[in-house]
Amino acid sequence: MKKYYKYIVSILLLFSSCEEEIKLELAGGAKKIVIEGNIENGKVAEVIITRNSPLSQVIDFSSILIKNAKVYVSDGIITDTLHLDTLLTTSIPFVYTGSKIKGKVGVMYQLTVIVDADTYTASTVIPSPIALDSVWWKPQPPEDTLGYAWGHLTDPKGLGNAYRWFAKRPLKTRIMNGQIVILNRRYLAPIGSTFDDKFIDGKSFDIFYNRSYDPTETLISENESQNERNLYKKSDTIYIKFCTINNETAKFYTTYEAAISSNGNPFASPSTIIGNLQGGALGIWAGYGATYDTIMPRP
Amino acid sequence: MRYYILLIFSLLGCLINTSITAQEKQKKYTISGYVKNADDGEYSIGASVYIKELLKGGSTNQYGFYSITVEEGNYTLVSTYVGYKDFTKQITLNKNLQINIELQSTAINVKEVEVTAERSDKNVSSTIVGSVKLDMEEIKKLPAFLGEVDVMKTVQLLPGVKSAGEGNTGFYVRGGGPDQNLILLDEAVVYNASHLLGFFSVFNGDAIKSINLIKGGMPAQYGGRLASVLDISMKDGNVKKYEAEGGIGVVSSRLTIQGPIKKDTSSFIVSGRRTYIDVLARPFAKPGSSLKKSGAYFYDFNAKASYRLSNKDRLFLSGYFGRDVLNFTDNASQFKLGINWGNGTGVMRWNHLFNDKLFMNVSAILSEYNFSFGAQQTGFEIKLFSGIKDWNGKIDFSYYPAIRHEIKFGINYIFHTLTPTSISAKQNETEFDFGKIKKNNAHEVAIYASDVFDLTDRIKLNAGLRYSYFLQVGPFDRYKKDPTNDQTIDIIHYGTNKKVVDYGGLEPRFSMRFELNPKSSVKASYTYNLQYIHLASLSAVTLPTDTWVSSSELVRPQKGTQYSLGYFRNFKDNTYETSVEVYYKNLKNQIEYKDGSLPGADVNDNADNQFVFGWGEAYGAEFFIKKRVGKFSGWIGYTLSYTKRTFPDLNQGKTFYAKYDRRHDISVVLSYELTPKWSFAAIWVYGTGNAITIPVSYYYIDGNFVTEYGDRNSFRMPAYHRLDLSATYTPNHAKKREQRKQRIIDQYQRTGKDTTTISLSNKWIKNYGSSWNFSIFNAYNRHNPYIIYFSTDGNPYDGTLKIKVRKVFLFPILPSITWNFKF
Repeated sequence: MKKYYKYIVSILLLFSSCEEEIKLELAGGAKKIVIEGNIENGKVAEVIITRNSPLSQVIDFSSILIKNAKVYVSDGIITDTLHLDTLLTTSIPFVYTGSKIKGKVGVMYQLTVIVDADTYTASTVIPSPIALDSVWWKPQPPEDTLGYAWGHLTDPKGLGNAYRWFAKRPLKTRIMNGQIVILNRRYLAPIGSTFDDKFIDGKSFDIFYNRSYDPTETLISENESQNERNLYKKSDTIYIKFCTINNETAKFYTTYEAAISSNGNPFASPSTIIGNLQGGALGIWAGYGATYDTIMPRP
Repeated sequence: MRYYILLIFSLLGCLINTSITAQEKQKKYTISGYVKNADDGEYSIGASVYIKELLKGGSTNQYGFYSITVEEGNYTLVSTYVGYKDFTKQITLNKNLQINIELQSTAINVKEVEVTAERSDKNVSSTIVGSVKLDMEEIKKLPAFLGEVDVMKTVQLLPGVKSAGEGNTGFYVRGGGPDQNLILLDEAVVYNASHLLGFFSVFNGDAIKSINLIKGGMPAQYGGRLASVLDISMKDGNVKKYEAEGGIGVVSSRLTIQGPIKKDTSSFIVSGRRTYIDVLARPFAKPGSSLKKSGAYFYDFNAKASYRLSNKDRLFLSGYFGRDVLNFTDNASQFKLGINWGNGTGVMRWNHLFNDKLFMNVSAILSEYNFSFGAQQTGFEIKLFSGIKDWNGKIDFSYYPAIRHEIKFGINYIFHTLTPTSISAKQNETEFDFGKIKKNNAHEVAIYASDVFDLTDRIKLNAGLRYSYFLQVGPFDRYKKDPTNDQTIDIIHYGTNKKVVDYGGLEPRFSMRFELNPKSSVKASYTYNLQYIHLASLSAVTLPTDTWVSSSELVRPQKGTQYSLGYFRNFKDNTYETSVEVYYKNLKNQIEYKDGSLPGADVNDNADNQFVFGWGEAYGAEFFIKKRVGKFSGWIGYTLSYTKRTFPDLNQGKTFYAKYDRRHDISVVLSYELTPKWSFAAIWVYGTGNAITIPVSYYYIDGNFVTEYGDRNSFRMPAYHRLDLSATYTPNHAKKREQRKQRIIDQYQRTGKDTTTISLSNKWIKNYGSSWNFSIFNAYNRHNPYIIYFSTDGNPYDGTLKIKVRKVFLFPILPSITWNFKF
């Protein structure tokens, strides 16, 4: 929807308006902690903890990572103390992971993060997974070897279900400038992948997604066309992770997607991302009810 | 509240009683009639009519009617109106008299322009605080944006009125929101007064007679909005002869035809406009480019017919219809978009004179605003529309029992049908469920009474009381939400005509003038208003997508209280008018969208579930100096103001400045008539930048850096300022026509005939004229910000990520030429 607003006015602006970059003194905001964590059925919790960064400075990863946090996940009976790990499958390799508690459907999990004597908390539930009825690939005309990944979803009757779609292609390694570069290391959620059943309650229908790309991989140029970058090739293997999420998680990721897609849209209102952390931290503590599928388009 | 009713009625009662007892002592008679323009028979609104010896009288109502009741005797009746020669007549009042006055345009004799224009101390003597009346002739002299004379842009040059910014015709009055202005075109509500997203207003200058803006001390006959009334009257049409006028400009052309249906009894006027930037832009577009199949234009029509059925009955039929159309096709992404929106109004009015003291007007009004939007891309189709439609019936009475009184009372009923955003969408064959098209229905009723009366020779009071009642009825679905997680937990269905919710209340209005001396006065007012329908805006700018919502169980009526105080003084024989006004306003039940709200809020849901509620206050001081007559005329206005809002659920509950809070606002408007051929005008405006919310930090989520926003509206855009210049050249033939007219007048005067009976319809006066308008908009090419936005560019992983601040400005220096004609 938001992008349409842009079209409405941008067409008028074609005739007369001009745009220029300006310099403004930007006041810095308060220092805040940012938490992005999740627990999935059958898996241990993963929590990435960073700091926000002033607009005036170049991002320095070593300064935004928080490596000395105390992180606990509790299911109400036992408490798992998370430890800092390095994983290839998360957006930043430095991630706090659990060991004792593996996610179970329907259980509520409490997250506690302590950084420099400040405590941040949140709780989430892993909703019952709802699997896609089927998944497939088909060419998107006029292309014949490129297309979206499709799935067929039947939403159970009754409002309150929400979903997030992730996909990835097989892990690849490349040598670039003498260095080993790993591609397709994690599941990606394209823009529009988070939705709830407000408009589709109890319906059975097709969904489709583009390939998306990993912002952490943008240095790699494969000389692909726009469609090649956006769509899956017939020769690709597509791994799909389809998750049910609760309403708070849906709210966080839809507002996050709105913020990303309204970047550079002059008509967008300030997109505040609505998180669920208590104690003044930004971010989300999400429960994922995940199911997995694979599409192999080639015959 | 009951206290107010008692107070008003006991005041009214005792005053009328005193006048009745006075009447017994000496016989009283009434002089009444209509005031109109001799040239074309247009009724004059707000013309002064008074008895010179008593310096007492009143002004004509919206239909040009006046009534004065005084003791018997010999008097001089005087009528004055801006741009017209004073009318004077000796009368012997020993019976009720009906005198219809025809005012002669001062343009007939250039020398006489310097003679008094209006009853010159009106500024000082009237009770109304914060009211400004503008004449179309006055507006037409000012520089026009792209040659298009625009009443809304002129209104925004008045102190206390702020434009919403370039590209917005929305305006803010004394800290009120754009939905708090009641905009009336021949009594019909106009919900969206802008064309092309605000570059033009919907009011076609050629079809408009007069404009009256009330920003404080709103009289009781108006209601339903908190901040202001912009009352625009369409021309009735020339009852004397046929006339065509128009203009050909760089972006638009317009044509108006008017004339008698039956001479001196009925008339018509039709007026149309269309812009053609789309047509002009197409040939310059590259073949196959998006511009080739894209365009934006608007058109509108005004039409009116007026009939004099008898001496006591008049009938007016008027209507407006306008549409904006936008098409966009992007060949590369196969994206197609079509949008159109517009207003329509239809008004039927019947004036009836029961006797020379009691005037009645009955109106039946339809007003409508619709917005529709359609887009498609690769098998996905979406359609969206929203709108509001009002059926409105009104009966208004003006009663003139004695010279000290002008009583108005009436009843107003509106049936609102609001269509919240309705969406239908499909992906190839699959229809998405966006629910049924919903229509919300509501009744709004108001009764009012007011009296303008002289308490003493120095104190004039305007006291009024309005009672309004609002009732929302089914069919309606209420989506009940779980307060903790925002999920719909229940849907309550209300059947047709079943009561959903109701609100009501008394709205007392007082204003008074205390005359210090004939040249200066102090005025004060207190008003309390209720507003039952609201405009909710998600975007940073006002867009036609903003939808109107009615009060509901969650949205309580907006309440506004305003106190204002002013000092008015005229100098140098009323050549200069000056005033200082201060105001304080308190606003309750204000609405905003919650943080993080996304469009489509009212689909399978109620829009108000996304609202948060708060309150506001506004205060300020307005300084105004105006030179009204002479070769050199114009005004300077300065406003110092503060506008604040507090919402417990926004900005952590901290008070913030409203988006349109403007500390300083200056308008300078000057016009100079060098010769009858050449006249010049200049406008300079300055305003503190809008308050906006800006990012304060980056943070990392899922591989991307997103921005965190700071305190609401804590940042100021750069100040807005601009200079416009114009020159109007009226070639000789107009002068020749004037000379000819003058000769005829001289002839009349030599033979001792009454010159007031001369009208332009005289066959000896060939009424043809044309003029050229040259204007320069934004003469020193200031790049005023329309929008400031922030975008992140670059890659955080190689240290190139940075935030870019961009300013969009709409108009660089823009010269334009318009040719106006009249025959």
